[in-house]
Amino acid sequence: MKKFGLTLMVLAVSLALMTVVPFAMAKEKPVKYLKIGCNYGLTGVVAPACIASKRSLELEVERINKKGGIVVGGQRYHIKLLFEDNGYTSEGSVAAATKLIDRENVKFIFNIGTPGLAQTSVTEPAKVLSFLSSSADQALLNKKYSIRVYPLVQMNDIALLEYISKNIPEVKRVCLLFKNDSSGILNSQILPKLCAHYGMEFIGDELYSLTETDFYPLLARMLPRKPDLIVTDVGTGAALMAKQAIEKGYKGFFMGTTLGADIAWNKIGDKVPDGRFLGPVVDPGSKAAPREIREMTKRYEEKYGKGAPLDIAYLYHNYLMLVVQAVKKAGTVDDTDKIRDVMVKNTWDLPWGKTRFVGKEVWGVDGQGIMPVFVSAWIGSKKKIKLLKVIPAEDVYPTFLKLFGKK
Amino acid sequence: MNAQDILAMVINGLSSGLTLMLVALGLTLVFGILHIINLAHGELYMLGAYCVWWLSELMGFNYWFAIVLAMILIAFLGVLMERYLFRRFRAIMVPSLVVSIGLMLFLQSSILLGTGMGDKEIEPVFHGQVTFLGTSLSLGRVIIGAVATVLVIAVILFLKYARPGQAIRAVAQDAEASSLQGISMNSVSRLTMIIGSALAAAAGGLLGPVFHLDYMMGFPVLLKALLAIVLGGMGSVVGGVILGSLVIGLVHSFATTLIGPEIAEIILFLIIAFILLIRPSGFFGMELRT
Repeated sequence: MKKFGLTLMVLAVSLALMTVVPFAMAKEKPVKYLKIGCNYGLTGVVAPACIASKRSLELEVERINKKGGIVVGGQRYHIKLLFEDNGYTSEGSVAAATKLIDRENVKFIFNIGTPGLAQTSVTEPAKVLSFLSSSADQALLNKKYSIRVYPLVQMNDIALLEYISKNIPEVKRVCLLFKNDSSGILNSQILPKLCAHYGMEFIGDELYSLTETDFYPLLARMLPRKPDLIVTDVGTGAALMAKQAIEKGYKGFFMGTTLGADIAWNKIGDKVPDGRFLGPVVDPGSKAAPREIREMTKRYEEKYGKGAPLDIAYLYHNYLMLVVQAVKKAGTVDDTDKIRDVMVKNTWDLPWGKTRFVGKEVWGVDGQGIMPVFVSAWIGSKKKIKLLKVIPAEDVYPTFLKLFGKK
Repeated sequence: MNAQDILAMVINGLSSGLTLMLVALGLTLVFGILHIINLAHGELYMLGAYCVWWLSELMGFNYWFAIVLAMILIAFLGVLMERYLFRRFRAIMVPSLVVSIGLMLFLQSSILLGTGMGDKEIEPVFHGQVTFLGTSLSLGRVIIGAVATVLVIAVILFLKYARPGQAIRAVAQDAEASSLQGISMNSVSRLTMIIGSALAAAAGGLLGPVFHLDYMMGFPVLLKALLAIVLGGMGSVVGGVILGSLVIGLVHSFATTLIGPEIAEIILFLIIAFILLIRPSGFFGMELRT
């Protein structure tokens, strides 16, 4: 009887295994990879920001993959980031994008900064989605496969000037002292209109060479016009300019128009009295930052220690999470037409906040994701960025449309 | 525009001209003796600044001591450059230019690899501003201007009254005749590189706290120094470099203030081209020819 029971048990277990194992084996397909190309300036002028972004993206991907990756259309995928160095040049960007598309067959390429514009010459015909961070119109203009979830200089300027016009009434006269690059030219084009819109007087602009170090002559030209606000960039040149402006007796405010590395904020902010340097930035480790960004910063600092550049390092998590969510929803990782349609027709919960896509009336395509703008001031004495206000994208975009509408 | 605006432009021009003088003086000395245009001279200025940063910010030395130490170290580097690179190309223009370009790139890359991408800063030693007839400028600039003036005067006195200085002038005027008088060309070349390199290092160290440091900072200064010595008269030490540097500083200041920074550089080159059209050998070029 005992022997019969044992035989019965072995039979039952075998039967169970025979039923379950093939079924389980048939259901769990081998893991595939969702490849994302990162066409980054790992050398060149923006290398520190690109390296920080690379590190933080890698950490996030590692976390996603450890949890089992993502499932798209019943297939499990692990994410694989493929980094190519473009040296922060246009030709390097085209070469890197070509390599990523032809050799690696990627369908998504992230690109930081101006070289992204050149990348679109390769990605558009190949129907590869380009994720860009250049504020230039050419990044999106009639480009179906370009996606930008990045706070444009124009929108940053709108948010900052709106805040200043309501909260710092003594600012009446505005000038632009900016490096001579595409952002500088863009600012010189938009600021006169913006100042007029907010009841301020735009008293002039000067674009200086990237190698300029002695700003005394330039300041001797601008300061006699008595500006209350100097709009500038967040580079080391701007830090020198701010320092020298104060040496020359300037007592007004400064406004940085782009995101930046904390090094630049430190350098500029330290030169000016507390609260006199404003910009569209948030300390990603502070309570003011969105929860997901705070957690990413914590993970980053645990692995690499302090010193990650500011929010710019984490901006590309918007793109990573957008790709992850959109491919899941679209049910495909290859059909970029379908993925793009899903992307632009939905509202997404991204690390930097709720994001929806707009822009058809401006660029002919709805590839611009809009997100809130953080208006902050640098408190040099405490070495801290103080969040002044979060201005929702919905408040900024109508003004943007009104002033800078159709291209 | 009122008198105060003009005064501000003059002061700004003088302040940048005075520091430019230190770099230009070394460059013209090397040209006068070795008859080579050392395009790596701007890198000696850059290395001087980095040296002071390294000594004062990282090693904790006193700023002024760091400048003196940097001058010695860079002067030693200059001796090595003269002995192993430039001596054999003395008065051979094209190969020496190629060597100096190679050296320039090598030094830039070395600093980039050695110290990383980010800009460096030397903590300002002097704080506060000085206001002169309504025009304010930082105390640091005033001190730098004063130190630069003292150094230039010291070099001028050395060249005029000290025997080694007189030997340098003699070789600059006629190398062959000097050799016949027993002056060693090699010793004079070495001494010239020592003075030129030390002056460039001093300029870098002095300007470090005023500006920021990056591995490409030498080239724009070299370009202006070249303009200054072309304007003053290649190889001319005293009048040429002083006048050339001050003119460059003043023209840049006036052009930037009155017309704007975008075309200030163009104006600078146009004015220099115009002066050279009238006086091809520069202000004091005759000194070299005689």
